[in-house]
Amino acid sequence: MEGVTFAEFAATRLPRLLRYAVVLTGDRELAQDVVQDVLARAQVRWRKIASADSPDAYVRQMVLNEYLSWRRRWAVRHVRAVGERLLDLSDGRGASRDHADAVVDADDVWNRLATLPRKQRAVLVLRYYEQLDDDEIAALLGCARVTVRSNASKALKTLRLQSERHQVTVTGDI
Amino acid sequence: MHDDIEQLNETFAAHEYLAPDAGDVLEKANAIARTYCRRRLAARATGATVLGAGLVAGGIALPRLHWRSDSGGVAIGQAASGDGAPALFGTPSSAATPSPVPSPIVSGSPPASPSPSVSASPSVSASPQSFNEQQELAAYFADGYDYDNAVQLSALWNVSDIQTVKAEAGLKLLQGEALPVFPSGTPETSQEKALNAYFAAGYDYNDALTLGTLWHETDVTQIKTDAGQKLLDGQTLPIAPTTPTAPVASASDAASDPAATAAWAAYFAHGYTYNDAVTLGTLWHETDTDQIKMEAGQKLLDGQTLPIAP
Repeated sequence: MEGVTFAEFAATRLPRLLRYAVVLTGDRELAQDVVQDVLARAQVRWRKIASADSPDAYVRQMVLNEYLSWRRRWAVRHVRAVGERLLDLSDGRGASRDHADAVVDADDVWNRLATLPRKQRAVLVLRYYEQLDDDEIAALLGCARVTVRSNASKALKTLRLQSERHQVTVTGDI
Repeated sequence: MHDDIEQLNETFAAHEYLAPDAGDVLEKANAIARTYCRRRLAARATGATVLGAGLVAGGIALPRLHWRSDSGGVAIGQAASGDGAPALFGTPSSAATPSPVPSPIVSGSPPASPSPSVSASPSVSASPQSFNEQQELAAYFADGYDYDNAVQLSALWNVSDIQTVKAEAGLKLLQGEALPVFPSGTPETSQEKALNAYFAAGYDYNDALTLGTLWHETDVTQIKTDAGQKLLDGQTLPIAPTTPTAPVASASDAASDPAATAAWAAYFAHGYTYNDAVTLGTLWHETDTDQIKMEAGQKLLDGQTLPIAP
């Protein structure tokens, strides 16, 4: 990867970077804004980035930092629409009932993820989507390992509680 | 717990499709980057301060920015982007919009040339002499500036890339301009120059001991200094160096190889010595101390740290 030009980097890594950004932010537009800003800055300082051990990791760190420092009001802007779109997409393909259930669940979890504080969400994404261990996450976030574990624990607890409340509500409705 | 993780993984995977179009994002990123560069260049040309991507303090009467069309020197925009951003700096006209009125702030500078593309730098103080980055870095370190100074300058100029800051600062020094911070180190003294010449010629501590025997001198530093001064004066020493000089690293050839010069200068400017090179050689399984110094210096120039402190 060392010595790679920005054009080469963009051609090979940008799609994956965008997938990471959308999972990290939970919002298509925010992901686009974050990656655009990061890429613009990365171009200007590409010489330094290209000399890093892993330019890919460097840019991903920039995306993470940008997301964590983003000041815009973005939470839940498009969350509901996102869930609906995923469900619509699945139904449109004539998926089986089981698959449709899975999609509904995924939408539900996605919406619940959107309610988490950014750092907690980032920890979950880094841990389960990026498959990083807690030490690596701590290094990326600039915090202690115990903080990572604490954030992950809180996030999972929040998601579970919401899920239980949701199930109670659904059961009560029936 | 396991279900939670599985469900999260499924959720993340199921929503990857929301990723925006890469081409669209890249196009917009290019547009943003062009804006950054225009503002930065305009600020530099007028002496204003770039406060951020969207903020520039000071008067911006965008001066005539000349973009070099050949590939000899290094234009700041190109240097900053590397050759990897063709879309960003596609053409001179798209990279910097020339203004018909030169800024009065820079009126003292000689007009670059009637030709629209003679400057090696977008700065309007167009020097007739162009420098490459290695020369700029060498000048930076030779004047006693170091990494900490670059950090200070980066804060003042709001340029985060330390390497670019050093090069820009070095360019200013080469052009006779003063920097807004004082060097942490001191400019090379005559003794340092002599010592550098001594080591650059491939001589080492053991050679100094041998010379000391010949010259009836016991102060090793003084021996090395005297020997280095002789080399600078074009004289030869009574013994050959223990470690043959790498061709690019000899005192006389270093000037013709800016990369070696810069690496060399960086190594000593950071306070490392011959003994450090020996220690590094042990760690790196390398016996050529000249090569070690240059490799170590290059690492320092690249912003890396060495496994030992100076």
